[in-house]
Amino acid sequence: MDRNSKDLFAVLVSENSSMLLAYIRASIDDQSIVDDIYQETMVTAWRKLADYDRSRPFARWLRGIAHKLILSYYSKQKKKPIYCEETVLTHIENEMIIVESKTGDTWEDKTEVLEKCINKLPENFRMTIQLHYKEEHKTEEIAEIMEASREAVKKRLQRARAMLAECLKRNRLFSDSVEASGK
Amino acid sequence: MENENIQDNTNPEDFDSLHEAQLRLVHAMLISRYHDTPESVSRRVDNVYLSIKHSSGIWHHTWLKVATSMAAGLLIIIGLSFLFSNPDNVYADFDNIMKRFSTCDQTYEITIHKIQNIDSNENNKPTRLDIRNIKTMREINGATLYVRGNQYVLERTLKDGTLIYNGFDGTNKWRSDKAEPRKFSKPGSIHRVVPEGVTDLLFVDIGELLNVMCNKYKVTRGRDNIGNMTGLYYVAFKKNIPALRLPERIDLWVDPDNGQIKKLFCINVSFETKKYNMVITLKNTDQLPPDWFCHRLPDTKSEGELDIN
Repeated sequence: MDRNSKDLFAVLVSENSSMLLAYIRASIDDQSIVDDIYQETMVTAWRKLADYDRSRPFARWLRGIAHKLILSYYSKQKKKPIYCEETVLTHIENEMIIVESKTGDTWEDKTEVLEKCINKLPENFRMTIQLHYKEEHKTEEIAEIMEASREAVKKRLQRARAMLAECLKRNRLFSDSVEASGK
Repeated sequence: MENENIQDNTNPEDFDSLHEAQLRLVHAMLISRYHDTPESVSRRVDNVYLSIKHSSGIWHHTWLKVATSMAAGLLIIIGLSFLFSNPDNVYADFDNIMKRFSTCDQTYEITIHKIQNIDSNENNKPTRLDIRNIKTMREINGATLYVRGNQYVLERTLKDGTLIYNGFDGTNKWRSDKAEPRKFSKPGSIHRVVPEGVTDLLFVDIGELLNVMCNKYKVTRGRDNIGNMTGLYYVAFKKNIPALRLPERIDLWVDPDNGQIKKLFCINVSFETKKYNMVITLKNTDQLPPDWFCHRLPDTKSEGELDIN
């Protein structure tokens, strides 16, 4: 592999790491599997870099590799979660394309509106999200902190995520219909 | 972070795949927002390169593999010989030490010392992440590291007394813990070989650490008869490039008679917002069972192996 290709790969890997992680995390829950698939995707991309058509977006090519690895992972699982259905994975890819089309140099820039949406959440929902995602508390710990039942916390997390998705739709980061998603 | 049902309604008949996709993306974006720091992303990218380096050494032909291993070993020896060709020339025979190191079974104990903040945060209170990292470091503190050449097994104990093993048999990396059979990582995948979160600490792979020391460190001082470790070769390596996330200094004590590394002292090991000093001390050189470092099926054990499943 020539020096230019290596340099190009180094830049593309750095630029696309956050996006790729988000894509894999959206498809798989187990963090160690996420790490493995991220790593394997990048290593496969390195090996197949000569096949990459530079006129096409690198991010999509990378997700294509990850997609195959994710499907391969699920094909070996006895019990598959409902979210690993092909239709869900296809929608995730379509939503990623919409996010990519937004202005901003990095994945963080493009998804900046999420922060605005978090701040708009009602106090108890915002707190639940922050305790769970930022502070990494388990639901029973949050239940204790917020003096609620574990079930109530789980529901609150689900509702908070749904509210955030609605907010992202209103801000056009997500599509508002299947037709729009498939475009 | 525990797994949660993302969608409120998981009844297959009412399942809305677009809604589910969006909820899953929200979930992923929240993790990214709170946990993907530039440092952690940079570390992942470093791991990719490390993995590429590892995987590029995987050849289909055994002879090529052997030749590559020999070349790598030679490079370590040449590199170390070069490093040690200082005026004192006390380490001229370090290649012999390295050769011996690769053939002896060695059992080390790891201790962690002196945890200090790199950046003091607001109120100087430890963050959740700090607590988790300290917890990981506590698990490593007191851990046992078995080494045979480039093979190794790291044995650490969780707070509840559970033993966890991470190993590498020269070809496959594996892990086993309380209720699970041994797991394997594919060649090129490095994430399960050391405890989660400390993948950039090279301490488990002493051969690789020595290799890194050849390339990224310079000898700052070397003499024998240091302190109460009379008769040992002592050498101190200092990091060439300050920005690298590697220990700032590594001190090494080697027994010149048998080539065993008696002690490795990693000073200022940066990990997230903390710095640690890590001491790896040789406990004994008992011969371990031949397959001690190998993966095996869940119900088979190496002679002398603890019942961990």
